[in-house]
Amino acid sequence: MANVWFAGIQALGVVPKNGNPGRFANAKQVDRYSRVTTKPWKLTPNLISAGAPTLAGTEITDYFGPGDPAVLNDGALDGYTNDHNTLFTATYTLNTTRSRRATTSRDPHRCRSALADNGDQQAGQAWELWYSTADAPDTFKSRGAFHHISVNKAERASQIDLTASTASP
Amino acid sequence: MRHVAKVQFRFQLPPLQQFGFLGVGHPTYYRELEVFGRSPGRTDRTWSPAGSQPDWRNTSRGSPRYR
Repeated sequence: MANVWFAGIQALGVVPKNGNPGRFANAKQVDRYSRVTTKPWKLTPNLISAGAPTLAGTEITDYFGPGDPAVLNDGALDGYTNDHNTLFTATYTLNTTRSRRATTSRDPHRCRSALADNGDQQAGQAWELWYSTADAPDTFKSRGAFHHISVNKAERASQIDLTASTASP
Repeated sequence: MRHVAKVQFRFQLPPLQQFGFLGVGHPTYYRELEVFGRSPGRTDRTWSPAGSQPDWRNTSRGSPRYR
Protein backbone atom coordinates (compact mmCIF):
# COMPACT_ATOMS: atom_id res chain seq x y z
CA MET A 1 0.00 0.00 0.00
CA ALA A 2 2.83 2.33 0.84
CA ASN A 3 4.39 1.69 -2.53
CA VAL A 4 1.17 2.63 -4.26
CA TRP A 5 0.90 5.82 -2.28
CA PHE A 6 4.50 6.75 -2.94
CA ALA A 7 4.18 5.97 -6.64
CA GLY A 8 1.13 8.20 -6.76
CA ILE A 9 2.95 11.06 -5.12
CA GLN A 10 5.83 10.62 -7.52
CA ALA A 11 3.44 10.67 -10.44
CA LEU A 12 2.20 14.01 -9.25
CA GLY A 13 5.73 15.25 -9.31
CA VAL A 14 5.54 16.80 -5.87
CA VAL A 15 8.24 14.82 -4.11
CA PRO A 16 10.98 17.30 -3.29
CA LYS A 17 14.47 16.21 -4.11
CA ASN A 18 16.73 16.52 -1.13
CA GLY A 19 20.10 17.19 -2.65
CA ASN A 20 21.85 17.31 0.67
CA PRO A 21 20.20 15.18 3.35
CA GLY A 22 20.81 16.30 6.86
CA ARG A 23 21.46 19.87 5.83
CA PHE A 24 18.98 22.67 5.95
CA ALA A 25 18.80 25.32 3.31
CA ASN A 26 19.78 28.82 4.41
CA ALA A 27 21.61 27.48 7.41
CA LYS A 28 25.32 27.15 7.68
CA GLN A 29 26.31 24.13 9.70
CA VAL A 30 29.74 23.53 11.05
CA ASP A 31 30.43 20.48 13.12
CA ARG A 32 33.70 20.03 14.86
CA TYR A 33 35.42 17.59 17.10
CA SER A 34 38.25 17.84 19.54
CA ARG A 35 40.71 15.33 20.88
CA VAL A 36 40.66 17.18 24.15
CA THR A 37 38.01 16.77 26.79
CA THR A 38 37.77 20.14 28.39
CA LYS A 39 35.11 21.83 30.37
CA PRO A 40 33.68 24.29 30.40
CA TRP A 41 33.98 26.20 27.17
CA LYS A 42 31.06 28.40 27.94
CA LEU A 43 30.35 31.27 25.61
CA THR A 44 28.62 34.51 26.47
CA PRO A 45 26.26 36.14 25.94
CA ASN A 46 24.14 33.05 25.62
CA LEU A 47 20.48 33.99 25.35
CA ILE A 48 19.34 30.83 27.15
CA SER A 49 22.02 30.70 29.80
CA ALA A 50 20.64 30.08 33.26
CA GLY A 51 19.93 33.39 34.93
CA ALA A 52 20.20 35.41 31.72
CA PRO A 53 17.63 38.23 31.41
CA THR A 54 16.81 36.97 27.93
CA LEU A 55 15.60 33.60 29.26
CA ALA A 56 12.00 33.52 30.46
CA GLY A 57 11.58 29.80 31.02
CA THR A 58 12.91 26.30 30.54
CA GLU A 59 10.95 23.13 29.97
CA ILE A 60 12.45 19.68 29.61
CA THR A 61 10.23 16.76 28.68
CA ASP A 62 10.78 13.01 28.44
CA TYR A 63 14.06 13.15 30.30
CA PHE A 64 14.75 10.24 32.63
CA GLY A 65 18.48 10.41 33.19
CA PRO A 66 20.36 11.49 36.28
CA GLY A 67 21.01 15.08 37.19
CA ASP A 68 18.94 18.18 36.70
CA PRO A 69 18.28 18.70 32.98
CA ALA A 70 17.38 22.33 33.60
CA VAL A 71 21.08 23.15 33.63
CA LEU A 72 21.64 21.79 30.14
CA ASN A 73 21.81 25.36 28.98
CA ASP A 74 24.53 26.20 31.43
CA GLY A 75 27.05 23.47 30.86
CA ALA A 76 26.71 22.42 34.46
CA LEU A 77 25.21 19.00 34.07
CA ASP A 78 28.22 17.18 35.40
CA GLY A 79 28.15 13.43 35.13
CA TYR A 80 25.46 13.91 32.58
CA THR A 81 24.51 10.44 31.57
CA ASN A 82 25.58 7.21 30.07
CA ASP A 83 22.13 5.76 30.09
CA HIS A 84 19.80 5.26 27.18
CA ASN A 85 16.99 7.55 28.21
CA THR A 86 18.25 10.65 26.54
CA LEU A 87 15.78 11.17 23.74
CA PHE A 88 14.22 14.25 25.19
CA THR A 89 13.07 17.72 24.26
CA ALA A 90 14.44 20.93 25.70
CA THR A 91 12.38 24.07 25.17
CA TYR A 92 13.61 27.53 26.02
CA THR A 93 11.22 30.46 26.18
CA LEU A 94 12.87 33.74 25.39
CA ASN A 95 12.09 37.04 26.98
CA THR A 96 11.01 38.66 23.76
CA THR A 97 11.35 42.11 25.23
CA ARG A 98 14.95 41.64 26.21
CA SER A 99 15.95 39.51 23.25
CA ARG A 100 13.89 41.30 20.62
CA ARG A 101 16.77 42.84 18.76
CA ALA A 102 18.74 39.65 18.73
CA THR A 103 16.23 37.02 17.69
CA THR A 104 13.88 37.39 14.81
CA SER A 105 12.59 34.85 12.37
CA ARG A 106 14.06 36.84 9.49
CA ASP A 107 17.44 36.84 11.09
CA PRO A 108 17.42 33.52 12.93
CA HIS A 109 19.44 32.85 15.96
CA ARG A 110 22.69 31.08 16.01
CA CYS A 111 22.49 27.82 17.88
CA ARG A 112 25.18 25.59 19.20
CA SER A 113 25.28 22.29 20.99
CA ALA A 114 28.48 21.14 22.60
CA LEU A 115 29.14 17.79 24.17
CA ALA A 116 32.16 16.19 25.77
CA ASP A 117 32.89 12.83 27.27
CA ASN A 118 35.82 11.18 28.90
CA GLY A 119 36.28 8.43 26.40
CA ASP A 120 34.54 5.57 24.67
CA GLN A 121 33.64 7.49 21.53
CA GLN A 122 30.54 9.02 23.06
CA ALA A 123 30.87 12.36 21.33
CA GLY A 124 28.11 11.77 18.78
CA GLN A 125 25.00 13.88 18.95
CA ALA A 126 21.88 14.45 16.88
CA TRP A 127 18.97 16.81 17.36
CA GLU A 128 16.28 18.71 15.57
CA LEU A 129 15.91 22.42 15.96
CA TRP A 130 12.43 23.91 16.18
CA TYR A 131 11.26 27.42 16.93
CA SER A 132 8.08 29.39 17.41
CA THR A 133 7.35 33.05 16.99
CA ALA A 134 5.69 35.54 19.30
CA ASP A 135 2.44 35.60 17.36
CA ALA A 136 2.04 31.82 17.79
CA PRO A 137 4.34 30.78 20.61
CA ASP A 138 3.06 27.20 20.78
CA THR A 139 3.27 26.49 17.06
CA PHE A 140 6.72 25.19 16.29
CA LYS A 141 8.42 25.13 12.93
CA SER A 142 11.38 22.97 12.07
CA ARG A 143 14.71 24.42 11.15
CA GLY A 144 16.09 21.01 10.34
CA ALA A 145 17.83 17.99 11.77
CA PHE A 146 21.50 18.11 12.55
CA HIS A 147 24.01 15.61 13.72
CA HIS A 148 27.61 14.84 14.40
CA ILE A 149 28.52 11.20 14.23
CA SER A 150 31.79 10.12 15.75
CA VAL A 151 34.01 8.45 13.19
CA ASN A 152 37.33 9.06 14.84
CA LYS A 153 38.48 7.14 17.89
CA ALA A 154 40.31 10.21 19.09
CA GLU A 155 37.15 12.25 19.41
CA ARG A 156 36.44 13.37 22.93
CA ALA A 157 34.17 16.33 22.29
CA SER A 158 31.91 17.53 19.53
CA GLN A 159 30.20 20.73 18.63
CA ILE A 160 27.43 21.57 16.17
CA ASP A 161 27.24 25.21 15.24
CA LEU A 162 24.38 26.61 13.17
CA THR A 163 24.36 30.06 11.70
CA ALA A 164 21.87 31.61 9.34
CA SER A 165 23.52 31.89 5.95
CA THR A 166 22.37 35.48 5.79
CA ALA A 167 23.92 36.41 9.10
CA SER A 168 27.12 38.34 9.34
CA PRO A 169 30.17 36.19 10.03
CA MET B 1 9.07 40.97 11.50
CA ARG B 2 8.22 38.15 13.85
CA HIS B 3 10.26 37.58 16.93
CA VAL B 4 11.34 34.17 18.08
CA ALA B 5 9.44 33.17 21.20
CA LYS B 6 10.72 29.67 21.90
CA VAL B 7 13.64 27.59 20.79
CA GLN B 8 13.38 23.83 21.02
CA PHE B 9 16.03 21.16 20.77
CA ARG B 10 14.67 17.68 20.15
CA PHE B 11 17.40 15.17 20.86
CA GLN B 12 17.33 12.18 18.59
CA LEU B 13 20.46 10.34 19.60
CA PRO B 14 21.74 9.43 23.03
CA PRO B 15 25.47 9.47 23.62
CA LEU B 16 26.91 6.18 22.49
CA GLN B 17 27.59 3.71 25.20
CA GLN B 18 30.49 1.45 25.81
CA PHE B 19 29.57 -2.18 26.00
CA GLY B 20 32.80 -3.56 27.38
CA PHE B 21 33.46 -6.78 29.17
CA LEU B 22 31.80 -5.49 32.30
CA GLY B 23 29.35 -3.29 30.47
CA VAL B 24 30.78 -0.23 32.13
CA GLY B 25 30.55 3.03 30.28
CA HIS B 26 31.93 6.43 31.05
CA PRO B 27 29.50 9.27 31.50
CA THR B 28 29.20 12.09 29.07
CA TYR B 29 30.11 14.75 31.52
CA TYR B 30 29.56 17.94 29.69
CA ARG B 31 26.78 19.17 27.49
CA GLU B 32 25.71 22.68 26.76
CA LEU B 33 23.09 24.28 24.57
CA GLU B 34 23.58 27.82 23.39
CA VAL B 35 21.56 30.32 21.42
CA PHE B 36 23.07 33.54 20.23
CA GLY B 37 21.64 36.61 18.63
CA ARG B 38 23.31 38.81 16.13
CA SER B 39 26.98 39.61 16.08
CA PRO B 40 27.96 36.05 16.86
CA GLY B 41 31.60 36.77 16.13
CA ARG B 42 31.78 38.96 19.17
CA THR B 43 30.93 36.07 21.43
CA ASP B 44 33.73 33.91 20.10
CA ARG B 45 36.25 35.94 21.99
CA THR B 46 34.72 35.13 25.31
CA TRP B 47 35.77 31.56 25.76
CA SER B 48 36.36 30.89 29.37
CA PRO B 49 38.36 30.11 31.29
CA ALA B 50 41.29 31.30 29.26
CA GLY B 51 43.26 28.59 27.61
CA SER B 52 40.60 25.94 27.98
CA GLN B 53 39.36 25.99 24.41
CA PRO B 54 39.55 22.57 22.83
CA ASP B 55 41.53 22.17 19.65
CA TRP B 56 38.49 22.03 17.44
CA ARG B 57 38.88 20.41 14.07
CA ASN B 58 36.32 21.09 11.43
CA THR B 59 34.64 17.97 10.16
CA SER B 60 31.89 19.60 8.15
CA ARG B 61 31.12 18.00 4.88
CA GLY B 62 28.57 18.51 2.19
CA SER B 63 27.77 21.05 -0.41
CA PRO B 64 29.93 24.19 -0.41
CA ARG B 65 26.81 26.32 -0.65
CA TYR B 66 26.05 25.47 2.94
CA ARG B 67 29.52 26.13 4.22
